Parts: sequence; C-alpha cells; structure tokens
Amino acid sequence: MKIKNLKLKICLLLAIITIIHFTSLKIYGFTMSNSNYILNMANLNSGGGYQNNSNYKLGSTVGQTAPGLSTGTNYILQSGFWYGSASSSATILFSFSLSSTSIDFGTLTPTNPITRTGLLTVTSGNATGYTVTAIENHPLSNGTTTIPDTTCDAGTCTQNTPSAWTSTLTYGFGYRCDNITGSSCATGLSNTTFYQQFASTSQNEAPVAVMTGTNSLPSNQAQITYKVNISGAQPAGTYSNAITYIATPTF
Amino acid sequence: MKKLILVVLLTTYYLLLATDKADASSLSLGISPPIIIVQLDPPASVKTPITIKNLSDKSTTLQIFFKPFKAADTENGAVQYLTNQKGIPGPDQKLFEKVQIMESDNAIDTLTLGPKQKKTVMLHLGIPEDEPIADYYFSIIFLNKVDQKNSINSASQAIGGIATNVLLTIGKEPAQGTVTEFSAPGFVEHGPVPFTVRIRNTGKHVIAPKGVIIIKNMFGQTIGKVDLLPVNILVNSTRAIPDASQNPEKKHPSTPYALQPTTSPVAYWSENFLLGFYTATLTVSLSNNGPVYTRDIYFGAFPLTIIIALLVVCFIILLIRKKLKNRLASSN
Repeated sequence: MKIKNLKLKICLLLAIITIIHFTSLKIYGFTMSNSNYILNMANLNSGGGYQNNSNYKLGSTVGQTAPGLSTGTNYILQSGFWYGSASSSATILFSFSLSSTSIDFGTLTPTNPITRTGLLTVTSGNATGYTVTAIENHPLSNGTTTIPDTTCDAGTCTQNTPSAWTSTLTYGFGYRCDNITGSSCATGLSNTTFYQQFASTSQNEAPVAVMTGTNSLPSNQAQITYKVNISGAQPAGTYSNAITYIATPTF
Repeated sequence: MKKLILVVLLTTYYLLLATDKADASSLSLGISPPIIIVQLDPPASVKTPITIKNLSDKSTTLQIFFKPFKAADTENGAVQYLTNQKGIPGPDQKLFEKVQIMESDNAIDTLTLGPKQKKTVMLHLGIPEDEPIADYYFSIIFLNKVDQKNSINSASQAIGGIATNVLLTIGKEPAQGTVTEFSAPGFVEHGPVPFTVRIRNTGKHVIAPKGVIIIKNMFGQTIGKVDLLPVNILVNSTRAIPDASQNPEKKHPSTPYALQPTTSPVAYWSENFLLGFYTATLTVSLSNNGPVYTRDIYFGAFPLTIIIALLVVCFIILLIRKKLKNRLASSN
C-alpha cells in the first residue's frame, strides 16, 4: 500500500522510531551474585543467537562468609539478616518510641467523651518491616467496677473490627490510629470516626497489631487517640489500666 | 521607647529559646541485631551479643522475657505471638530453661539503662546432647518496667517494649519446600511488572531461599533480571518473596515503594517501557544444597495509552491539514 500523504508518513515514521528506540534489543551476559551465592548464566552472543548452554550453580561463595556470620563448635550463627552488610549487623538499630507513658484522662464526667493522644514511632533499621502490637491488662477499672471497652455506636466494634463512635450516649474505652508519616495504621481506621477496643489480657485475647509497616521510610510515626466516655450510672472513682505496646521486627 | 520594645522582644525571644520544654514522660529504645539465626548440632553452647540502647533522656529499667511466635498469615515475615502458651511448642517445651540473657556472665531478667546509655548483653544457648531435632522461634522482649502510680485522675499507663527475634535450628535435615505461586499479570501496559513469588517450607528447619527471575522477550533474548531477597521462611509456613532492591540498606532502591503492599510483598521488575510478549523464568534454590526449582510464566505488554496518544496526534495533524487545504481551495 503506497502512502502518499506526507504528514501521515511523518507520523508513522516518528512512531516507528519511538517504538524501535524503546524496544532496543538488550542482551545480557552476566553473573548475578551477592555475598551468599553465585548464579552463573551463559554469556549470550548477539550475533549468533541465544546459546542454550547455561550453567547454574547456586551456593555459598567460596572463601567468603556472610556479614554477621560466625561459626563455632557444632554451630553456625547469623547475627542480622542474610542480606545485610558487615556494618549493619552491628550498628543499625531497630528502634521504637512512645511519646508518653501516661495518658491522663482527668476527671471523667458522664456523656462528656475525653480524648487523649500519644505518638508511636518506629525505625525499622535493616529489617524489611515491623509490627507494633498492643494489649491492655484489663478494661479501665477502679478496683471494683470497670468502664467496659467500647462497642461503638452500632455495637459492632471489637479489638479486631473498628466502627464509628460519634454519639455522646455511647460509652466505653477505645482507641484509633492515624498515620503521621508512612501508612502503618490498619486500613480499617481510615475513617476518622472509627474506633476499636484494645485486646485484653483479662479476656485471654491475643495482642492486636496497631502498626504494621515496611522499611520504605526511615521512620514511621502514628498517633494513637484514646477515647473514654461514661454514663451517669458509672460509679465515681479513679479508673486506670495499662496498655502494653511491643515493637517487633519482621523475621 | 523603641529601645524598650527591642529589649522586651529580645528578652521574650531568649526566654523562648532558653526555656526547657516540659518533658512528658516518654520511652525510646533501640536494639540490634533485629534477628539472630542459629543452626546447631547438640551438644552446643552459643553466645552472641545483643545491643540495647536507651534513646531517651530518662533512665529506664527493662524486664526481659521470651515469647514464642509463628509466622503471621500476612506472609511478609510478621510474627504472631502464641498466646496462652506455656513454654514453647515443640519436642522440648522447657527450652527456655536452656536460654539465658547474660550480663557480665550473670543471668539477668532485668536491665537498667541510664539516659542515652547503651549496653551489650549476651544471649546464651546451652543445648545438651540429647536435644531432639527441631526448630524453635521466639522473640526476646525488653519491656519497660513501670511502677504502679496512684493517680488522682483516671488514666491509662502506656508500657513500651522492643524485641529481637531468634530462629533456632537444632539438627540438620535437608531443606524441603514448594513454589506455591509464581505469577504476574497476564497483560500490562507498562512496567514496573509485579511478580508474585510464594514459597512454602515443608521441611523441618527454617530456610532462606535464593532465587532469580530472568525475563526474555519474544525473540528469546534475555532483557532483564530480578534478584530475589533471601528472606527467612519458617517451618510449615508460606512467605511471599520481595526483590533484592528492597534490601533496606539500599540507598536508592529502584522498587516503587509506593506500590509495595504491607501484606504479601511482590518482586518488581522495574523496566518501564514494554512491548510484546515476554517469558519470565523463576529459578530458586531452597538451600546451598538445593533443591532447585524452576517455573516459567508468560505475559504480554502493549503501551495502549501511548499508542492511542500517538494516533490522536496524527489524527489532529491530518484534520488540521485537511481544513487548511479546504480553506485554501475555497479562497482560490
């Protein structure tokens, strides 16, 4: 088919040049390795086509040890990750911070929800990720009476399932998580009115992850908002509990 | 008058800078290494250092305890602590009696750190000869010990802790496992291309598979490779494998982190412009002594958006040309 139209010819020529440029045939003859293994590939001859005589060898590099690797009588010990460098195993800290160890709700009055905030900060170091779990020892208690963990407005929230809590006539104790840097809070709490209970040791519940992150940022920070609201029937007293946060790197 | 105002301003400025901020009690801890992997043949006595640092300006006393875990269902290396667990699951439920944290050759269960102080303690594993072959996984947790305070107000106390993970292998059994998934989208418009690689450990010991994905174009020529990160896979668990560019120590990773889900990681081939049909070959070895598995998948790529844009541009040019031609013809 003859193309007589000059403009069309130019367009097609431009398109062909673009396509050829970005799909330029790349031929790799390479050896992939890191300090723990060598994977040898065939050298490829661009003129003669692909040579199907690849030789694979996967194993430890002879004469080298992995960073942080040591051996002794009857044991091999790796301190740090297999893919870490010699300096990282010793110096890069996995760290965790709490902005405050005391969350003071002041004097509680009926149908007057109190909120307080605290910051959790994690630096994952050379771990690929981390989890921060939380669990309370028991619901807020004055020794004889408790403020129950909230079930939110619809009565549906649990330690694993958040739900909206906006009504001043909904009572209890709960929390929510908001991302400050990174996105490590559970996605179910993206709605700013959602809260959930803390898992409770007194009820034989397992700790729940409040932050789960990767190492995509130098550090991740989240804000925990604690909320408590009591009814007029709640006996007077000072109510307290303890919430334990543990930061664990991924393995 | 001007001098007076200046003095007041300078004094206020000085006070703002000089005044210490009220220090709400806080906690900040760092630990290294984040993981300790031990493979031993009993009898064996192993000692290895753990560094713990108080990063805050206040002294802290830490309780030390061990907590067993398993792999979480998220398949990304997250731990799931075993609740209501007495001892540790496995043939030796009293294994923790053979594990100590030592400071100056003394076994300890608490550790006090001054402000900004760093201490190195030793993890000691003393495994006797008759210990059965098994794997044990547990965290060593350093938890801030808080004295109960009698508050006049209702309050919650936040207790913080930090952990390092221990993967202990006793004995030597051959690595066993399967590649449960190797997949990619069947069609993509452009890169990066996400590969899902999931490996299940069916053996008796933790494994750290080493692997690579080789990508060939429709002409059979190798045009790309993706090194897989040698992550740990616990016994009776499955793990999704990310690519090696997600090594946390890489300063300029090519992986698009914004795309990386917090659950079930993927391995990215970062090539952006793609056209045609491709073959991706996964080669993975479960250990230095194998076994080695290979899998092939196929996918296609067509830059639909770019092609459509080019066609639209050409169409507009032709349209403009035609209109100009008609206008010239009518004016003549």
